[in-house]
Amino acid sequence: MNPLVSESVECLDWKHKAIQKCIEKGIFNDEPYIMLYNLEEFRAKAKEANENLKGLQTMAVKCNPVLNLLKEAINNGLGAEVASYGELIMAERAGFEPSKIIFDSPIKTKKELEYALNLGCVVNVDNFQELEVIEKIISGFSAEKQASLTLGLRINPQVDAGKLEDLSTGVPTSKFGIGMEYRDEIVAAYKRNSWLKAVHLHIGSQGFEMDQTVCAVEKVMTLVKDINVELKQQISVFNIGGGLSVNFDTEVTTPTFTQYANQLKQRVPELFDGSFLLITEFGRGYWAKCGVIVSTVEYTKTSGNRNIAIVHVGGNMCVRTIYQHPIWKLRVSIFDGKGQFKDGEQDGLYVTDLAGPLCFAADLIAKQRLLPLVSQSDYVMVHDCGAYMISAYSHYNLRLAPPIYNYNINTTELELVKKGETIQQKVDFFS
Amino acid sequence: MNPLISESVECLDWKKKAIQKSIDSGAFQNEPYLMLYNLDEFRALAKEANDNFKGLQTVAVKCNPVLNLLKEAINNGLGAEVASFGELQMAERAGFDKSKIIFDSPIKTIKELEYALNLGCIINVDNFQELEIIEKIINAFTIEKQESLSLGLRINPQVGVGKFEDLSTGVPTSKFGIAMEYKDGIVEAYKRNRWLKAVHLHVGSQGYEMEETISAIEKVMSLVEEINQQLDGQIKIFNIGGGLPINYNSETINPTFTQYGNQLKEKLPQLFDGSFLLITEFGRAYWAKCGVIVSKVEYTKTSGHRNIAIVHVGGNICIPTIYQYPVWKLRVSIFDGKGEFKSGLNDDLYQTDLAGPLCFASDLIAKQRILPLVKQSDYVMVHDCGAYLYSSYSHYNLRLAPPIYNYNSNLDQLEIIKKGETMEQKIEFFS
Repeated sequence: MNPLVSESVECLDWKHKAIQKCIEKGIFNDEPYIMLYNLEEFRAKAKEANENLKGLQTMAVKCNPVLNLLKEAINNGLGAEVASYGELIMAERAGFEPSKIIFDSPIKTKKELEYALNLGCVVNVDNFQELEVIEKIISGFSAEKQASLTLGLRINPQVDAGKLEDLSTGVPTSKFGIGMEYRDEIVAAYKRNSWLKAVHLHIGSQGFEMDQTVCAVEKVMTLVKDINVELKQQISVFNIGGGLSVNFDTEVTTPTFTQYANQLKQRVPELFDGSFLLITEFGRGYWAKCGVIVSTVEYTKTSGNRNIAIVHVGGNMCVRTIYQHPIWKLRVSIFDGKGQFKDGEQDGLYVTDLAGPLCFAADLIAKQRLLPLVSQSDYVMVHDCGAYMISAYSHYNLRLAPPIYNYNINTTELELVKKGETIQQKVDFFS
Repeated sequence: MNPLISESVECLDWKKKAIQKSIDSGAFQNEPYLMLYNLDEFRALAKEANDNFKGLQTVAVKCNPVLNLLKEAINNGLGAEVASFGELQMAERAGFDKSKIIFDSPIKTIKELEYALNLGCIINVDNFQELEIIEKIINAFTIEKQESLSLGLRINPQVGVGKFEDLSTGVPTSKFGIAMEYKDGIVEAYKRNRWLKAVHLHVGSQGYEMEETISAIEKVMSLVEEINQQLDGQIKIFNIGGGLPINYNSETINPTFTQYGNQLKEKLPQLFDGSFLLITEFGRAYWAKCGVIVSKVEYTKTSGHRNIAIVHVGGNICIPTIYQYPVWKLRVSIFDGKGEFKSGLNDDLYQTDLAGPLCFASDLIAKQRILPLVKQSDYVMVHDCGAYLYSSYSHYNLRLAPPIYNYNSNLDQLEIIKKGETMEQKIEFFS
């Protein structure tokens, strides 16, 4: 009996079909590695979110700013949450309506605020100094323009960190938002500005149990109700960032939007009874599991009893996985030259490093992974790469960003979503 | 007596003058943050390297691929070590002579090898599969062309790990090079191919004591001398990557090229007696301490007794510092709105986070640093940023890469080296 379990993981059928199609079409003759999405998966998620959470669902552009994927989001009834001026411009370019753009950024400059306030998107204010700048700009607007605005304060509920401290945005010392400890000043701000019709919070997604998120929401809801009693229901928009952790351990989506919504409905019914417009800002929850990266294996070798396969995906695309090993472990599947899945159960398993293309030793997309023997003609598929990978692309070693395809499960055709980065673009960046 | 020591560090005079000049010339009216170099520092380091090592000094393009800085390297008698096809293109564009370009990459595709072999630059082969491809290509060349070539094998000496496992490229299981354990295969390769006239090794720089590097070199030298015995002195080029760690803890350069040169001369005199062309590949040692990043402080706040100042530099440009906290701690200095250094020696000091512009909680360029009170009108200077930071720029949150200036201390002028990234370029990357 083989006690070792292969870490070349089984995966959803569309992925098998998609890689097969790519090989068949000769995609890898020109491209050493690519991204593959299944947009039907995304559409299903967007639908589930929209059906379970009334109000406005927005997607976090930071997790996936690719133009054609933003357009896909619009087609599926989502708005855009933007965390920088660059993301705001991207969202406009994609065609999101200003009323469905939420501008959250911890570092909005005066010029950026002037632009956004003139545009009329929803703006969530990060701190009192920013509020001061905003108050000044708005006081120069007509009464009509002022009345048309919807802004919120980002409240930091100052709760505990989740499993991932790096992503815990609602802790007492978080750089984001206005700490709950400033209750009086918060109330005074709402009192002073009738265009402050929203409230915003975001404590993080990955590494949080739903319960923690809901507790933070409850805490802020208490404050909002107090303010609304004083100020005649001035706050009519409740904006919740994040909240849904993604399962990187298997192909299963868990928890689901439905489960999250049910928790909210149960614990914070005010969000569903017409008192508020509920705005959500999911990102990873929509995109992570819809996309994979597939790379050719360029070379293989053995060194010090370690099998090594060198691939084109590493710290260029997967910054967190490479720089913060072993926290962001990504599952992989090995396919042979014809696109057949290799599970290795029959063949013997080897402790293998899948080495990325970058010039430092820790650039390993998988370290000491138990895999079937990887050969030079094989392909490596890396799962759950649909969010936060291409959006944080690093130029190190001037590696080119890959093309992105959608695998259309109905027509079984590949559709180009984005061309790969060109050498000219890369050289321009440094020139 | 104040037991706290200010971590707003004293720094070299040129930096104080440079930030003053930047403010005076209005550079920050249009740019929220920028990079400042002192090229005289770079020139002095290049001269010191050239004076102490005969042979060919190359600069590792991966640490600084900026076009005008590559041109500066050419003007200072350096060649280029390139770790990817993109870097090779960049080096050609800058104008390096092909005989001074060293192509080291762990993932050279067939097309890239065809290009490089036709070009005639030096190539260091990473593994036996790559060698097979190269042999095939070269077999089709004329005898004349074959004889003109200089290629090397990258040997992994399989030594111990340095302080930074992530950067230890010469350990037994390293993804790089051909392990020493394959001695027979290595000797065979040299025997079979007369154009293998070089040998290459690289164990890492940061986190290695000079002795460790030199032990590795001695190990490889033994092998080389054996081979040269057998093959009539076939190996004429000895190519050493890295070797010099940087002092991030103060303004002092330590160790120096002179010290390293002396160590090598003592322990490996063969490298200096005409037996070999010695090729070096420094990167960090040339550039790291020549460049700083300076950012405006956009906002300040206090949360949970933590002072927070929000700046434009974080995980967009300083990936290792942000993602691998606390390993790559960078020293900072605070300057007031007029450009006066705030040492904090006679002021109250506060535990402060300098928060970057990115949308995750651990995007902190400095965490719990003891600083004088940082104000909205202040500037933050981050030291030792001249290498590996711009080169690994991350697109996350679509933050624009900063402009780069040289502070010419003779003329007391700022000279533009590279314009900042534009919004159009950023949007194009995702479109």
